[in-house]
Amino acid sequence: MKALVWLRENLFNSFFNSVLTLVTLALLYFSLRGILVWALTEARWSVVPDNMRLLMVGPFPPDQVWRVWAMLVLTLLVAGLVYGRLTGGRPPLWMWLGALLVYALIWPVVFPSTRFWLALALLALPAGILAGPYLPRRWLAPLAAVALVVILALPTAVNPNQWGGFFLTVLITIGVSLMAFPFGLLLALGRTGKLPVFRTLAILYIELIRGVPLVTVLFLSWIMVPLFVPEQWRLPDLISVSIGFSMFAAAYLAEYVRGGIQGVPKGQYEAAWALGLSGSQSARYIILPQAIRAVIPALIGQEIAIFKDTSLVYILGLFDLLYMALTVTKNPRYLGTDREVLLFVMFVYFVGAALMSYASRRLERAMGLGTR
Amino acid sequence: MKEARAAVPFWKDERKLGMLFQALLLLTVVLVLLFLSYTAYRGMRSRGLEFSFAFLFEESGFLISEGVTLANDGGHWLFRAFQPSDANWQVLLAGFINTLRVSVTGIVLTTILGVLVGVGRLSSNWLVNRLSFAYVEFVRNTPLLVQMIFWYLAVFNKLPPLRQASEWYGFILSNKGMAVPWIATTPAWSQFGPYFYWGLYLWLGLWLIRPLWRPPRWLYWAAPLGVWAVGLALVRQLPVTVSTPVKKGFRVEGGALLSPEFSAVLLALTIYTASYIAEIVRGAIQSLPKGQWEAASSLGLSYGQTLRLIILPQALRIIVPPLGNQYLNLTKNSSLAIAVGFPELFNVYGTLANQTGRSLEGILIVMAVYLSISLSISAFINWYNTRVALVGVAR
Repeated sequence: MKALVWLRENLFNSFFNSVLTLVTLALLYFSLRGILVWALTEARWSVVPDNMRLLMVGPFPPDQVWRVWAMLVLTLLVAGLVYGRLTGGRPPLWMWLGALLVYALIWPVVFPSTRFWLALALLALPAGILAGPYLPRRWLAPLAAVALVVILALPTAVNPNQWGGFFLTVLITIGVSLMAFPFGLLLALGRTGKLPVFRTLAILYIELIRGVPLVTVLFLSWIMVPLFVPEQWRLPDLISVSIGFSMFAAAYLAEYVRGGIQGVPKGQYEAAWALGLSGSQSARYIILPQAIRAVIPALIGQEIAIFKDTSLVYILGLFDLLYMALTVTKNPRYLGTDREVLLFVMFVYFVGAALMSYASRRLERAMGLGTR
Repeated sequence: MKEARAAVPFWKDERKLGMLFQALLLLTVVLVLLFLSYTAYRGMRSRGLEFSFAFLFEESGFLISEGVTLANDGGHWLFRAFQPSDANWQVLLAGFINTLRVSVTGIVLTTILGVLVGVGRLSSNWLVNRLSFAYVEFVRNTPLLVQMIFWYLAVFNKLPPLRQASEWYGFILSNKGMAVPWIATTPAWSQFGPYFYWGLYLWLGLWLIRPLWRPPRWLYWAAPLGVWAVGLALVRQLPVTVSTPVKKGFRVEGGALLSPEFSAVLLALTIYTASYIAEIVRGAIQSLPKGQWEAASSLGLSYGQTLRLIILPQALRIIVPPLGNQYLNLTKNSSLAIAVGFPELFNVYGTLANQTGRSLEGILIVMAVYLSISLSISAFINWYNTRVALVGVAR
């Protein structure tokens, strides 16, 4: 009975809506039937697990893949330790259950050696959170620093030209964000500041970059950057492309931060002035902390955009996730599996982006954005 | 007093520090630019390259799969299909025209789809509401490039050959691409043509004399339509018809055949941008005070009337600036078509750079063209924005 009431209220509450519901249902039925029949009977989904290593790390030498695993485990462990130490919390139940579920799902399709690393990676985060509170507070910073050095050193034993797959995608996302952030901050300060030369240069830079497509900027830096270094250096494409990517991302980042800076009430500037803070001091202690806090959702949105845009390095021949996916479909054994592989790529990107926007919403709530 | 002023050393005087800082910055930027151009120049020299735009007037010698360019055929400048004997600037122009073709079509289609989905997101119909939500979430969270390649490799490339292709109300989907009904002229056009152009001239004339005499609004419509009606009455035949594509052996006749590459790029750009436009439309509608809905319903307007007469006109003001941004994004994103081989500007540049080795000069031209497209679109949006903005309200 309740179901009937619900149906009437939500699907058939007017003549127009009833017709709309029926038409949509018919369309949905015809399209979904075809897709489901294909996905359940024709699709060769085995192509994805069979090539999982290629998709995840690309041409990374198989006997060195443990380095990537170790990076992942270390990152998760340290993140867990820091989180556990700072909040004193315990890992929630869903984290254990989720780890178990992921393990059970992936277990049958991976090699025995991978199972070991997989288990380690899944346990690292909750274990870190659990152990965090027992760690003396003053060990935290040195430990994180050492871990960071180890994490950065781990992949360097392999030539950057052999980095690939989803690993490379994540690496570019993180690297580009880290490089773009300080530059974007500087541009935003310049554009909102009082110094006319600085402001003009910032406006010129931002508008020029925002007026052209990312792929042209990537191409330009791919051509130009090698010209700036001695010829015998043989700069990896990864570096020259990442530089252009960061310069592009910085222009967009600057605009978001500018929005935040302009949203800081004028009284804050005056108060800082009255306290006798200099321009750089008031920017550092008063304006930027408030501005950045206000634009964190927008910044994470930009982070998602960078993550999605890493797929463009495929056009320049870097072995990212998309490149590896298209390589897999060219393998004679897996000819004609474009749909399966590309759907998997979309799934990976979707999960990554959805996780980031989920984190953004959590962060927004934790910081009380929009409620204060 | 004089002493007190002198007591402030220049490194503590903010105005002087600011000027010093700016001078240093300017100097650094100029020096860095000089250094970069010099090293680039030396780097190119040592690789045996030379910076020159002379290649633009050399014969291109390669073919692109589709594209119209400006060419001098027998003393007349006209638009015709690009040929390998044409010059390099002509192939770039063909790419530019293809970029415009896919962008303009995409902008029209994505606006329609985006508004539909945006309104659907607010629908009281649960199914439509959830579907629109799922559409927006899925499309926004996956990269456009992957979607484009998916449409090309996994959809258009997998369509059956023309012989087995199914026809659907004049649409034919095959691995040759998408054949759609299109407007075509009939033999009567040669008689009707002059009336058609006179109608347009009349409209243009009315528009031009505005400073002297401001015609009533209806005249703008009535004048050309009247001329065309007279023309139709005299010719007594339809000058244009809708031509539907028909399968003829291995070819499609009639209608317009959109290549698989064009269709994939168009579809991907339309669907991707529409998800952003949907969010803009939804945000704008939601930002309107609830009182507007209540006032409309107390006037006895139906849901559709409220939307059409009350809500959308007001939402339009909020929508226009971000919408313009999305149009810009769509145009810039058309450069991803290089991944599926549609010969738009950037793809043509890629081939050209390969053939001539002029990567740097080429990319500078391409970036300048995109920049001017961007600036024109933002200028248009600004102009339109001032028109729809409330009179007397500061923007």
